[in-house]
Amino acid sequence: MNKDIEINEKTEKADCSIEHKGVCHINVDSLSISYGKKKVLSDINFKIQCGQVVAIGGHNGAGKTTLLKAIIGATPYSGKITYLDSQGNKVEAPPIGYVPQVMDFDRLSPFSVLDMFACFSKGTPPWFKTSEKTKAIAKERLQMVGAEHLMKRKIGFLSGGELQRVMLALALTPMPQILLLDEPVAGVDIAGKKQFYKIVSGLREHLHMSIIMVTHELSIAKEYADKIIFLSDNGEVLVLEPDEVDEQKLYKEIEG
Amino acid sequence: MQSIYNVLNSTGLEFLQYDFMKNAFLAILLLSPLFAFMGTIVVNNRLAFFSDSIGHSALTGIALGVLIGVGSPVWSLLLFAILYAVLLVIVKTKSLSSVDTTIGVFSSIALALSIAIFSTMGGINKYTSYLIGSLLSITPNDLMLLVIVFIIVMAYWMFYLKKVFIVGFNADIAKSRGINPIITEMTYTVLLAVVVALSIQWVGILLINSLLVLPAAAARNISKGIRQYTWISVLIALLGGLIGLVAAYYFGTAAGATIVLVLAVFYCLSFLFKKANE
Repeated sequence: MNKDIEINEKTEKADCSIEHKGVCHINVDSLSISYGKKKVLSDINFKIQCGQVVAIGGHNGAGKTTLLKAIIGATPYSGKITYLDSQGNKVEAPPIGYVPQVMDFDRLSPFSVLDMFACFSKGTPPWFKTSEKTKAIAKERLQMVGAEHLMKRKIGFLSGGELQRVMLALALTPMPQILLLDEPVAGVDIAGKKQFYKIVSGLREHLHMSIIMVTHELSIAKEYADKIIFLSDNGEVLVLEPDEVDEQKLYKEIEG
Repeated sequence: MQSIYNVLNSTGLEFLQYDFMKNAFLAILLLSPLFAFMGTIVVNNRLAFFSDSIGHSALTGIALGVLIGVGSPVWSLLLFAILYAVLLVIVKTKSLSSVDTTIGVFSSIALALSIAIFSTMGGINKYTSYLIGSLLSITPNDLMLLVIVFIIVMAYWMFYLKKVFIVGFNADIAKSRGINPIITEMTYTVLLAVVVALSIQWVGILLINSLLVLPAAAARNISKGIRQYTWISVLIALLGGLIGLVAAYYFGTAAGATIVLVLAVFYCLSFLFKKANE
């Protein structure tokens, strides 16, 4: 981990009164999503500020991933998702970083981590010499997630945890204003999870990003999140403060 | 054209003394890198079955062309291949069944349709040349057309290909970056359909997919990054093409098939190299 981003487990709430050009508020109004006849999400409302980490928990199939896909525009929805800057002006199509849950790519892929950065950056295509600028950006972003030693490795040969950090670094290229993480630490051990969450809260603090992450483990995530959104399979949506979260009770009550 | 012939004559190589061999030689210089470039995506984005299916659709295109009675079947072939590729991308995106099933259904329909049409016109025998193709029948006009396609593919390669790789890597990540996966995939498949449709008369439906898949598959075994992957593919395709053409000349074998066999040898060597280094 980079020494520059030494983070406390719990940071102060971000202050959106700061003059800020990018997205400062994400407003989700009466969002509904259906797959064919099946309603996945109905009438969801919440607000997120920049500099906040929001954890989305909930039952399997309650629509956590679908919600993220609506935000990136990969799923049609009804309702409104609006982005406002600190002055209350609308921001159209802000840059979004996205780390998906399942990385179903060819493990024999010839791409190295640096090649991926060349693909995701402006400038020369990766089948020519990678520019010094792209290399510098790749190095910087990888340092942010403590993965600069992985730069020359092939992506198919990374471990689950390594791949997640590399994907996070890629999601930061170019630097987004909103970061969406879908179960970023599934299958990673406890230490790896804590490390990942620390990196994420560091991003929130230093870059003032809005971060939304889907997670199965609210008990760990609540230590780093500013807000918890819980989607239950009966369509109920709870917006909670982290200290209100009692995971067992939450799952149980709604099931009952 | 004559000046290029003169240059080739001045090499004094025996196999280049005939004009049809000169044409075939020039065609290899254009076709091999073209196929190698397109093949790197076919292999990387797991489209081998897909490109094979586009090859099958060519037969239907020819059959339809003959049925309607347009002059050269190349145009109906081209048009049908593009239509087929677009339709296939749409159905495979919208359908819930697995991609290989969808492609399998498409290939079956295309093949059955072409055979049914041919049977009404006295059988497929007249058109078997399209199954095997003939590199030695390539004309100077064909070469000009190839140069144009070559330039288009190179331009696409320079300016658009990153998007294709991102979509192949993960469609949702592409979407989050404002790249439309369906449109991106379509531009690529249409280009692939054009290359396949135009080359089929020279390479043949049965072998066209080998030229796409083998160089990239071999390069993938021995390359350390995307740059090596791309350029080793091109190198293998060129070497395989030239060695195959010369071998075909001296052994009297079909050029297309000989080239594919040489490429297959390269693939086997790359595979052994990979195993030895593991």
